[in-house]
Amino acid sequence: MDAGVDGAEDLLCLYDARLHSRLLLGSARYPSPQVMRDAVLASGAQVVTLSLRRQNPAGDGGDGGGEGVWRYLRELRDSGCRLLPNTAGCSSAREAVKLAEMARELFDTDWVKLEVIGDDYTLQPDPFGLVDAAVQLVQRGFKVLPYCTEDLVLCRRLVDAGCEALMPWGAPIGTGRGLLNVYALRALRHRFPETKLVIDAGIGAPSQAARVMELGFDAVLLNTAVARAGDPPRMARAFADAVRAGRNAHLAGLMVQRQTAQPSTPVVGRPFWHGGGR
Amino acid sequence: MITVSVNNQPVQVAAQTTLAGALPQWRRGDAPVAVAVNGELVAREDYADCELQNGDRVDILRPVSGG
Repeated sequence: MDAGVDGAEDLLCLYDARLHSRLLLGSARYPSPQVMRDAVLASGAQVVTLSLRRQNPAGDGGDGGGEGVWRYLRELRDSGCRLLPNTAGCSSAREAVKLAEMARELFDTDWVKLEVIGDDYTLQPDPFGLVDAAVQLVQRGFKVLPYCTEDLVLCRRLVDAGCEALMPWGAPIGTGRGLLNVYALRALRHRFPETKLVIDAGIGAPSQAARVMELGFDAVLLNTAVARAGDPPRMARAFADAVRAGRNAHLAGLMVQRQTAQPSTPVVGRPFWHGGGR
Repeated sequence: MITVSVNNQPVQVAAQTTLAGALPQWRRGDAPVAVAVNGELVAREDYADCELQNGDRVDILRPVSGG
């Protein structure tokens, strides 16, 4: 178990939760519900995202629902994982608030990953709908984790609305392109030192997750990079290792980059045959 | 009899049927559900008091995987 800079255990405090793992994992797009369960357990994630949809009258229908997936999600919940329902598919504040209310009823949790999508091609969040929905949900007692862009002013409005955590994208959902706007994300970290910042979406490789954590972000939420790997449980472990490595690097303090070379071996006391001509 | 829409499918039920009375035959499996009538959430504790009316739209939602 890793320690923080003060020697105490390095826990992630998200609202009322104290989490050992800084990797949050989605439950979608795995080859099977069993593989999903195995990947979550391998990752050590303590927060798993899921959603809710109309019951299919014809049965499971291959839409990621049904008894199969619920059986394994319930098993994860009973083993201590916190379920984080999302409002995926909503394109207005009104839809998102209604779906969040349904999710609270269904999953007995006031946590919600708030998604209000403004563009179907990029799945970019709608900043106006997002703030509108966040205000309403906070007033209704929800603990809101909004999926947002890296826009500084949007994030300010969300914090002002009462969001204690923000989940800016690294890149569009499912692209695996890593951090597309490091400059703006660095600015977010700098401007919101007390807000929990979880990079959500666009992370495709463990090295990218390590980079996120090196930059000082609090956690990483991902799904596709693990779910679509050839061996999802193994990839889940790889991401867990990377997140831990990046976090430790951040806490340890990265060296300052330089323009010119600097020998790491002492130059004083070199043997006589060095520097004596050719 | 009255006709209600359950997840966009027309269904006939006896007049004065409550949500508590109708829901067991509409559910599939043991997964938990949340129910909205005409777009408004009905809390579990209110199912017995929710009497369905002709033309009501009932949405039954269940867990699915998500990112």
